[in-house]
Amino acid sequence: MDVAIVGVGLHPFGRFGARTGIDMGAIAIRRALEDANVAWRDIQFAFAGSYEIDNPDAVVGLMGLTGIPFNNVYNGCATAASVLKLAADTIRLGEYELGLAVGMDKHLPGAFSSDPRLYACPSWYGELGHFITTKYFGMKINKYMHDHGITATTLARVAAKNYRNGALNPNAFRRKALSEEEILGSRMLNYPLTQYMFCSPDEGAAAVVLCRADQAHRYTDKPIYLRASEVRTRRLGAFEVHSP
Amino acid sequence: MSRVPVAEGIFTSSSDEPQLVGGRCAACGIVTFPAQDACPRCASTDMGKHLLSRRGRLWAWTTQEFPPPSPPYAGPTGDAFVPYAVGYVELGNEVRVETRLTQTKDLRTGMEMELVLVPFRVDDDGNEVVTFAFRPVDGAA
Repeated sequence: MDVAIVGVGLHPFGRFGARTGIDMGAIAIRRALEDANVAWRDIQFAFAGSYEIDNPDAVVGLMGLTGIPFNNVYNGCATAASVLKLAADTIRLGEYELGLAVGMDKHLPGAFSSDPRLYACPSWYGELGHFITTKYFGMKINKYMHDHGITATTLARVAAKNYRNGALNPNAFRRKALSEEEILGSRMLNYPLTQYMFCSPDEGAAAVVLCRADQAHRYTDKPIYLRASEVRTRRLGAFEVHSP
Repeated sequence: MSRVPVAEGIFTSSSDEPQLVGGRCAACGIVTFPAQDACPRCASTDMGKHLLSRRGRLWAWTTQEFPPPSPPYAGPTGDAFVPYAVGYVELGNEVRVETRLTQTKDLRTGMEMELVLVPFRVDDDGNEVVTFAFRPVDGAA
């Protein structure tokens, strides 16, 4: 059975002072419901993803206590993809026909950190400073550039394109266009990656309403048909963030 | 002040010719570093200790130019922080090891590297904590 996205809602991304992550989640949900022309009481199930919020399903207290099944997911950078897959599979399996997937977060500034032992890494790996995501990205792109003859100018062009697009998007965190020179000239963090080549942890929320594809036109004349949202783990010989 | 390893059992203490202590699967022969209790290829739990080659080639590298978040990072921070390099070094055809490198300049993918022990920090008891690192073999730079 095919699945369609029939409503999308965003809380902008950025920094929002005392506003909580779960409040941002509720705002994104309301906007997605409005986009799909459905009410909260029509939603039959939900999945939520978050890193900072222990219990994102508590958003039901802000939306309405309809008693629906509501499961929480944390899967690192793949959290949103996992949430979307689980919500879509619930419809594909025929369990429900209309549901919601939402992500919400309010990250602290700076690189993410944790206890290495929670990632199946020994303590010394973290003590030595290896347990940091940005270093992994530096090593990976440096090897890729070496193997394929790519220069730092190309990296700066990619970042400049993204900042240009951000300047056009009222929901974006970074809304100021930056030149390739400014990007290349910003502080080197992990060679060859400079400060403005990294994304920064921030705050925001996003929600989608999903339904059986054969019912999509009840809700919208422009459904988005979801062909795939898949997650895989690495195979032997591959490295990933936080893998010695 | 005495010298203590950053962790017990991950390298031999010879200051002249230290070696990393990895693991080797008795069933399929794969080598890992650090050692682990089960094989990442065949899932056997028959894993033994295995001393790794002291020399290898630089496979990937970057620099760390700001102090990692503490904890878990236990090295010098603030004004005492000195940028360092990190890489994967391929030892023989056995295993790729993530490691500190002794220099941030003149690093090239594929260059020959060898294992050394280097000072990492001074602990609360005044001991010099040493860790493993790889440096370019003379003439490789």
